[in-house]
Amino acid sequence: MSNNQNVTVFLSLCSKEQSAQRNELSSVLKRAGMTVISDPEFISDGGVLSVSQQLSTSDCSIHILFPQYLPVTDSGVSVSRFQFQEAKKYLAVNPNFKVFVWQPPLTDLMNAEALQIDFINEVKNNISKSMVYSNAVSAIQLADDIRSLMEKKELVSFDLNSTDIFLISNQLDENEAKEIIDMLSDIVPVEMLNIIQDSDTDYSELCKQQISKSKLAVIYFKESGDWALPFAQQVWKKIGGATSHTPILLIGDIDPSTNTNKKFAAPKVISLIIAGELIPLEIKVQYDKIALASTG
Amino acid sequence: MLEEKICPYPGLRPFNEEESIFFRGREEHIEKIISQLEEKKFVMLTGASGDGKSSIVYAGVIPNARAGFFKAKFNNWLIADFRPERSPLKNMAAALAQKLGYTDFAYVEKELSFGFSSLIDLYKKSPFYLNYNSEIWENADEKERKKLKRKAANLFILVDQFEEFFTNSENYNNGKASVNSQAVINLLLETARIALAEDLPIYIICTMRSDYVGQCAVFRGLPEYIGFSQFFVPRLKRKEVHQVIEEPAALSGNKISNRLIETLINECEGLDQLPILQHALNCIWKSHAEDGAAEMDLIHYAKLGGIDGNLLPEDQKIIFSEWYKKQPLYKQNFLVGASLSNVLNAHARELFESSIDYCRKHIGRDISREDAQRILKKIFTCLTKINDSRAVRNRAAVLEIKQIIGEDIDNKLIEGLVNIFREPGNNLLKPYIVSSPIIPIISSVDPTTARIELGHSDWNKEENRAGAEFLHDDDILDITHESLIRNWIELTEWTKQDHENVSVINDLKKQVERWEKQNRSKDYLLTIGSLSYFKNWYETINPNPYLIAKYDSSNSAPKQKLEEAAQFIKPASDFIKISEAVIKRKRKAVLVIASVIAVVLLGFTSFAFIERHNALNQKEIAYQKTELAKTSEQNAIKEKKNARLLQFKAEISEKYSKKATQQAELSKLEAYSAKGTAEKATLEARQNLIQAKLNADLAKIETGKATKALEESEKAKQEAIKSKITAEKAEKEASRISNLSLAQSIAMKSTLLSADPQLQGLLAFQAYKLNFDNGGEALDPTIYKVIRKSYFKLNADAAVSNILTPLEQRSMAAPDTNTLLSADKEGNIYKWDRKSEKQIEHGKLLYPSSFETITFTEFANIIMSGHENGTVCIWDISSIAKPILVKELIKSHKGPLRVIACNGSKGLLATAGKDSCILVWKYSSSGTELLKKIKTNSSIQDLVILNDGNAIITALENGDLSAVDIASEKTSLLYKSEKSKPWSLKLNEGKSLLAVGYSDGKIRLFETGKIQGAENLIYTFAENTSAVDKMTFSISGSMLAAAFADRSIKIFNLAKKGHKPLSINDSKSLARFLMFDSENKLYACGSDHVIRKIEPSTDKIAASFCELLKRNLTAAEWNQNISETIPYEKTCINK
Repeated sequence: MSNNQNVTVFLSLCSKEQSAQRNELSSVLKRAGMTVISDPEFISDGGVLSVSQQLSTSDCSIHILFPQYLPVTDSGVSVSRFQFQEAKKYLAVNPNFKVFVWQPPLTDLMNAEALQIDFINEVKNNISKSMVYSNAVSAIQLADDIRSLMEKKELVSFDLNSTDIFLISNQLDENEAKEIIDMLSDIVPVEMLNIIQDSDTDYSELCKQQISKSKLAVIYFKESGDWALPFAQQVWKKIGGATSHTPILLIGDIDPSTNTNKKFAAPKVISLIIAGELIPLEIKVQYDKIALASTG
Repeated sequence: MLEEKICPYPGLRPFNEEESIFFRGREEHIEKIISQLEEKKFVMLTGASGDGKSSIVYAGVIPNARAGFFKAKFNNWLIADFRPERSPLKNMAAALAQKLGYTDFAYVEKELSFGFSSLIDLYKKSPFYLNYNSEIWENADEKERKKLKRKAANLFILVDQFEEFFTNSENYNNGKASVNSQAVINLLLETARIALAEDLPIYIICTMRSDYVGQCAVFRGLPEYIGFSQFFVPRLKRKEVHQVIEEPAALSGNKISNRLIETLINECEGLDQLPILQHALNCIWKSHAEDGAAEMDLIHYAKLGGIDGNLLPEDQKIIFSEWYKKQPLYKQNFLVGASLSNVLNAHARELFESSIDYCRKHIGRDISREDAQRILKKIFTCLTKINDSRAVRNRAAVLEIKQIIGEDIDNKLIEGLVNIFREPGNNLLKPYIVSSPIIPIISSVDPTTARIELGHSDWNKEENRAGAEFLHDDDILDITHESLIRNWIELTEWTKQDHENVSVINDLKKQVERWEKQNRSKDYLLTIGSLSYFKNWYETINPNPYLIAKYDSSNSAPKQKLEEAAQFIKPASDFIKISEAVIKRKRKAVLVIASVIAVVLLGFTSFAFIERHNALNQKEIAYQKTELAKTSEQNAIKEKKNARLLQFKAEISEKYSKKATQQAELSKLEAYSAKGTAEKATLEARQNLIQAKLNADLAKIETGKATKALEESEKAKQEAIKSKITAEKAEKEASRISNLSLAQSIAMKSTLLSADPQLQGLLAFQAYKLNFDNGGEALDPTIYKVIRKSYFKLNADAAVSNILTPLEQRSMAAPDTNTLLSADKEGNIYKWDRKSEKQIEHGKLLYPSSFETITFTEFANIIMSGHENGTVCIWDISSIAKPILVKELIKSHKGPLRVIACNGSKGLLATAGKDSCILVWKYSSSGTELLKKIKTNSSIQDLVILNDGNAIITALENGDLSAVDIASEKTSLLYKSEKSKPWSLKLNEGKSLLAVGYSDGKIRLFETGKIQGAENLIYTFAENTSAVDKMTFSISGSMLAAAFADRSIKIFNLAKKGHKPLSINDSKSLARFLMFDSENKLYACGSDHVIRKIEPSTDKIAASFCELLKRNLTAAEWNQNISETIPYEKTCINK
């Protein structure tokens, strides 16, 4: 799936009495540019194979909740519940798949059949990462939500190498950063990025991609303290904060003294202000700690 | 590394700058705003209330700018932010003086009051402005330059809550803007304009509620600027709301269950969705932290009144039930009607309930619950007002609140009552006691302390200062967000009551005014019902001048409102008192009269009672008798009626019988008469019909004759008119041809008069006019030649108005209408200002091998070079000063590379050298790959890629013009000339036409639709005999320009292919490159290091002729050079 036109939706079945709403949704989805697949001739015995086949050719599934527990398969499970369970199984092994559950407007689920309430509670209380439980007021709104949730943004991909340390500095501190690199590059693989304020480069995305290929991201500053702290914060956010695999070392020279305030305390961030001559050493120390922790 | 749990949700208040790390869901919008600012220097950010406009700027745009994700000149940023409030100029001056380092605030304010460039001047005079053309910069050594650069800063001006220009009567009164407001708007617009024109690093952003856009028309120039650069904050989509909820939790190391996320998203609808969602998330986080739970879940939401406990999962239902039983009754009540908005309602109600205990505990004041809540209600109503029938915030100073409440209350008591709403974690009222940034980010204090300074520049202001538990008279209290007014049930109700008070007071005012006008006449006092209503109201609210002034919804200034209110209190009080006294007096008099009447009535009543009793007895007897008589009478009447009825029926029957007989006789007679009349009428009608038919036939014959005569006469008339028109046309045409011929003759004459430029110019212009007035060719080569020649004689400046380049330029491109890019044979890239012909930027492609060819591609920032060693290089020239080598296709060809062709839409690149080989490349931002290597029969002179990307046309040295199919590599001969060789190729803009220049000066035009061979040839231009070096099509495709080896340039009109081309022969150098711009102006790079601008439109050159001519022709000159038979007229009317 590369764009909305190609989203293929598996629309779960329901009883004849409920088919008007389902048909309406199907029509709306088609007009929203999606391909709707579903087997209206669902047969209880052959259904297992049929559903799993259809799911495997879909990008997502939609399950509509009605108050009735109908129709029921030979094994006593409603078709709707069976298809939902199949979709969850498929989701468990296909993380890019998405399961949408829709509670249409004016559906009185509080007074639903007991078995259906049981099913609804099962759905509501076990929503997982790629599941959406929607009470969209119309089929159009639901289709619009699905379209935006299934949309994939294409990002610029930079040609980058894996490295141990990724050192970022501002053009104001370019010379000092180069000295640090000179001292470090002999003992550990280092990649460097010099931020130029009036450049067209998408530094935010570049940093995100390079940090994901590095063991430690170092943001160094001496004269550019006003830049370094917000930069570290934005990069930290971009790489996922506490969930990031690569820690950030925000390290500043103690000279000028205004740098002493430039600290950033957050999960996965080490923030230090130390004497300039000790900075290469400190970077190595922090890198070693991380390397040790990852091997240990 | 910090691993402790932190709350990533700010609650009801907006995100501040430090909290930007948790500000999610708006990334795309922030990028768009930044790019708009970079391009236009100004953005008006509009959106509905609660859409997060301030957060987008403070937690989005500003942190991104500081982080270097905003392309600007300098690294440092000065953020001058202010709100208009009641003194916009003062606030703007304060913000700028502080940021630009001016200590004399009065000076800054005075300077700014002059408007226009004042703000720019202040910035330029500040130490933060760095001019790269200044002497200081030019004389500085590298170290000093670095120092200067470190100090320099971009200026970012933020006007938050721009709508305050309209909501405060000091700024906007009776539809007119105040002088200060006008000055501020003028400064903003002029600063943005100058910054854009001079490329100064100044950026302006304003945030405004979209419902005020219409009112912006009151400021001159503002609507135009909003139209120029506006960004409407869009409503968040489901995906983005998901990010708002989940990602801050993930970033900060917290967890939130998917079922809670989905529940919250499903409830997040309508007005105030974001503030109430953020508030609920903040409360949920606190609830889960108190429970020590690992994950935020539905149970925490239920405890806040967000979801009904019965809807929880079974395991949580039990825990919730136990918790619920332990809650006080009032709190249990708050959980009723569970919903997302109820979380805010329940929170506010709980604080309201707890305020008394808080007050007692914190200030030790013993106050009754009733009094405490009554005062608190008054405080909150002071903080709201109705604006256009909508309850909105009303910021008020502590002193103002005390004055309105009017009771003997001190600041301490106010603190005791409101501080619970200002506490960290509550933050429903500003100023917050402790700002509690939601993350322990340390920018200016010790990280270990709990109380942290605010980094958000707005929060540093007086009104928002953090940590202030104590309130002073001038401290401003403000409700954090209007959603509190709409969602806290009690406050909504109080606001409604307050609004009703406005109606009541307006009603009372009218009555009092009327009473006063009538000299306090008692006829105009209140009636009993009205008195009771107004008296009750008056006693309940106990109004004072400050309260009355608050209720004054007019546009008067506050001072005037207060004076008017003070003047109203006394008469209003008198009015009610006097009304009451008069009514009391009336009541007393009525009481006395009523007593006397009562005594008299009592006597009469006793006597009347006895008499009445006797009368009633008599009446009863009489009644019985009457009833008997009535029954007898009724029976008699009944009998009589029956008898009369029978008699009447008999009479009627007799009458009907008689009448029927008479009627029958009458009908018989009428029938006889009618029959006779009908027979007569039929006869007459037959006769009339025959006569009418005869008449009609005669008339028809006569009409036919008349019509024929008329038609013949009309035909003759038309013929005569036609002949006349033809004659006139012929005469006109003859005259036109004669005049055109005369124009040619005058033009020729003018060429002989080079000794007298004025006379030459007059004749040239007269020739142009004659040609123009008589519908001559717009691109007539003779007229064009003399007009152009004469123009350069008259305007020496124009003759040299060309771009002088250091070296011979080999390629050009026009990225926009103002600038021009060129590249020379040594890899230098220049950007020129077309108007001033001055160089704007310069850079150099650094590559060790000599440059053979340089080609600007269809992409503005991509240029390709071919080198002597056969290498092709792709360069990114986004920064001309520092071109970046993107890709190097090393030694692709054996020997020097001769030509590069590119098809941007298909991402194809074709290169050819002297090695009789074409390389076809597929290129994209991710890389370049070699698709094909195609051998040709002979060395390649030039090549182009066709539109569909399937074929390449090659001009070979052996004279073949061939089409090469890329997929099959098959070559088909398109055209072969026995006498000449194809020298150069050029496709038009749509790639539908191919021009092939030959060594014998011929240019052959081919259609490129389907390559079939000679059938594709549609025309051959044979206007020269020297080889065709370079060619170019105009963008519209109407013209083709060609440069020949004899140094001439010809411009062909493709709409009239048989006509002579325009010829430019005044250049002494060879044209190395030709290019039309979007205005059809031709640029030619010469071998003499000059880029010539050639205007091919005679009309455009002639347009300025009269400005250059100093006189008109004399009568003698006219007769001698124009014609004696044509009446004299002024060549230039105004001379």
